[in-house]
Amino acid sequence: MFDSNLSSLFINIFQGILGFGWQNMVMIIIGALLIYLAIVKGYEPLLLLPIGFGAVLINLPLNGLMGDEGILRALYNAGVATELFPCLLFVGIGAMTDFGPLLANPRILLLGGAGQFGIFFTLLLALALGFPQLEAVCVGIIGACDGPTSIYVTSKFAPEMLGPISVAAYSYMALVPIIQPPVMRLMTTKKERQILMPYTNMKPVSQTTKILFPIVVTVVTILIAPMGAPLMGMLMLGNLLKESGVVSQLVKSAENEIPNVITLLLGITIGATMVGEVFLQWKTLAIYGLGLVAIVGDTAFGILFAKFMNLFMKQKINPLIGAAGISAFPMAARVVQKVGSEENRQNYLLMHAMGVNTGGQIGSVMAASIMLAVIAAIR
Amino acid sequence: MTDMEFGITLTVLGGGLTLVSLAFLVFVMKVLVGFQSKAEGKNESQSS
Repeated sequence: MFDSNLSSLFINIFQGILGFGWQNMVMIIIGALLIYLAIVKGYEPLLLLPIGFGAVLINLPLNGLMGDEGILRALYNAGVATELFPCLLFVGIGAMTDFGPLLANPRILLLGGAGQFGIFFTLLLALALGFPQLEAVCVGIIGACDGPTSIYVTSKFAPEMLGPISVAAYSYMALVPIIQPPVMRLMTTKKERQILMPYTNMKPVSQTTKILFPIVVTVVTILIAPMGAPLMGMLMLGNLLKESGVVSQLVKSAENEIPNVITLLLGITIGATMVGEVFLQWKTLAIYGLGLVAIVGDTAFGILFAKFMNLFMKQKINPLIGAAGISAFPMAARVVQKVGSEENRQNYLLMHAMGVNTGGQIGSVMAASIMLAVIAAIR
Repeated sequence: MTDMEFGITLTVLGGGLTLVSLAFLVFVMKVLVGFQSKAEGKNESQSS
């Protein structure tokens, strides 16, 4: 009698340790690695730090955090399953974005579209590797190089893949300065990289135009692809707040408090989806490999499209700015400036690249919205 | 619909429509900036 009570007491006290398996250990190491990358290497620390901690937390046995009444389950249901968190992040992105350089040279928006072609290329590769259709779409969307869009689409189609896809998307965004330059050099000649782009032919954009822009874009894009309304609507709301010049308190919140709180909640919740049994599969490795392909593809397609546009333009553009068509803002634009100025010190591509980069933000939301519409139509 | 048919349809329709939509947006932006230039021209002529 005493012996059986003692053994049940022992099991009750140490049930956490008894339930600790190799998968828990590996996932805690992965979580710790993400925390290390965030703190020591500075890779997207705002997101990778809470994701890493969430991964450590959820892989401790019997924590109950993602159980029916768990606190992280409540956050997940409220913010990820409803797609609320990524949409609210877009308010912040809109409030931080200046579409002035894009409005000064509207045709570079097309480069923001070309910079999304890695999505489709990767989608085909993922299908060829045996991913089910909707999972392949979520893998491809890493090529949008836009964290909230990736989270939005994945939470719609394959929520169980949210952990690996979000981590891959944000890791590669942080690695843009390392991934892009070799591709940019490979896809262009030295002469092309040296093309100077003057600023004299860029028209100054009035405040009225900047205020009208988010309203007009919202109406036009949502009429074309209504399923993208949550993303585009929130992005342009944030931008309208900024450009209106009359709601400085709201702009301050949209730029700081809202994205900061949402990033924290989103990060820890995504980390909480990184359970060993789900994360430790061959698929996760494949997602990382395909994510890299997507970003390399985006860069290459953006540059190729810039070269294609040059066939029809009197004033040639430097094809390097095509690499900024991915949505990673403003890293991609800075990389273009750096590579361009290495070839020619007089080459100041930053504002042109910023225009393409903001075009990439519109392009990624547009591509995702149209994909949602096409999928709804063909499935 | 096989997986590859799905992928190719999505690539052609999704990619194509994205570019067409963005081209339309370029047109809309040019109209917007064009109105601005016209309004500025009007203001300048009135002030002179």
